[in-house]
Amino acid sequence: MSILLIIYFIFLFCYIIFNVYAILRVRSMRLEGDKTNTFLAIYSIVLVIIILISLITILGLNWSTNLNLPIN
Amino acid sequence: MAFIKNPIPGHENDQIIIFARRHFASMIGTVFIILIMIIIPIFLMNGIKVASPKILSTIAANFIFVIGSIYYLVLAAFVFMQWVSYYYDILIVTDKEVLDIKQIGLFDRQITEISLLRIQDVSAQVNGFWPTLFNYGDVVAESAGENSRTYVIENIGNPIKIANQILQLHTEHIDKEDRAAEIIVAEGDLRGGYRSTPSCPPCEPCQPATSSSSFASSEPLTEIQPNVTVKTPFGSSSQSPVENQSQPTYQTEDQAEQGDISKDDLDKGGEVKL
Repeated sequence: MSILLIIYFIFLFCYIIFNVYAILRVRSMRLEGDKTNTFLAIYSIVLVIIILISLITILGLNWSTNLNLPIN
Repeated sequence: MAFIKNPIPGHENDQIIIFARRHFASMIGTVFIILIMIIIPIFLMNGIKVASPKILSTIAANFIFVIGSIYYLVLAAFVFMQWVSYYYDILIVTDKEVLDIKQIGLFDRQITEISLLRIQDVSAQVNGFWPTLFNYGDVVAESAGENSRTYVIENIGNPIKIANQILQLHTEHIDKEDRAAEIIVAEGDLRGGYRSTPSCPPCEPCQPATSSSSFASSEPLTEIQPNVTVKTPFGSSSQSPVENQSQPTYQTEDQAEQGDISKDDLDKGGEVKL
């Protein structure tokens, strides 16, 4: 089952890199005087909350058991 | 909107007259879909708990939580993309041009600049139930010239007012730039309130007037009687036929010199041999 955990962490890594790039790109597009910074702050907080809740929940699960699939 | 500067390099000092984002009501469908996508996994989890409570204590729970986490992260990114598409879809009208910035997601950005001088027609379209209810729609601008193009600025609030403002700015800009005469000649027709070259000197080809002051008058369109030079046995005279009510005496074709208009020419119905 640890393979699923590895895939999840690889996804998380790519996702964080993509979001950092997206935030930097949006910051470069913003107009002087708009509310982009406020929205980016809210978006970052929401992402951190989702990732923290996911990690706390997922790492609290039992990953040492096998699937016991019927393959020989 | 005075605190927002023009985002196009080189146009930072242009005065922004209209700054409009896409109307929020155009996002109602997307917001509804996002809310459903947020709620669906919660209902599914409750359904699984009720149907088979033991499943969450097995290895299947690992799958459910990992996939659920990925689902919500992707959903958050989707919301972010939709917000970027909404917030950076902008219409800016300055005192010189119309800027339409179309943003689709993060990687698709299209900026269209239309000079106010090139705009020929502007119309507004409000189609459908939600656009009528919330008063938003499309502004369609057509540019003049051989390479005429139609620009559609979608989902703008109060499109009729914005279309009127753009047309008004177009007229003001033309007056400011003294371009009325050129535009009338280019379009090849007369507009109400304007009239053609006020006086055409004899024996000179008609030239477009360079000053718009003679065109900007609000006099009604009147037929202009050009001065005609008529060669008579008593010498040439240059006068308006309106002023000269007496019948002039014309030359015959034999008497007329080369290049002059004779009576025979006039009898031929306007066909003049020069």
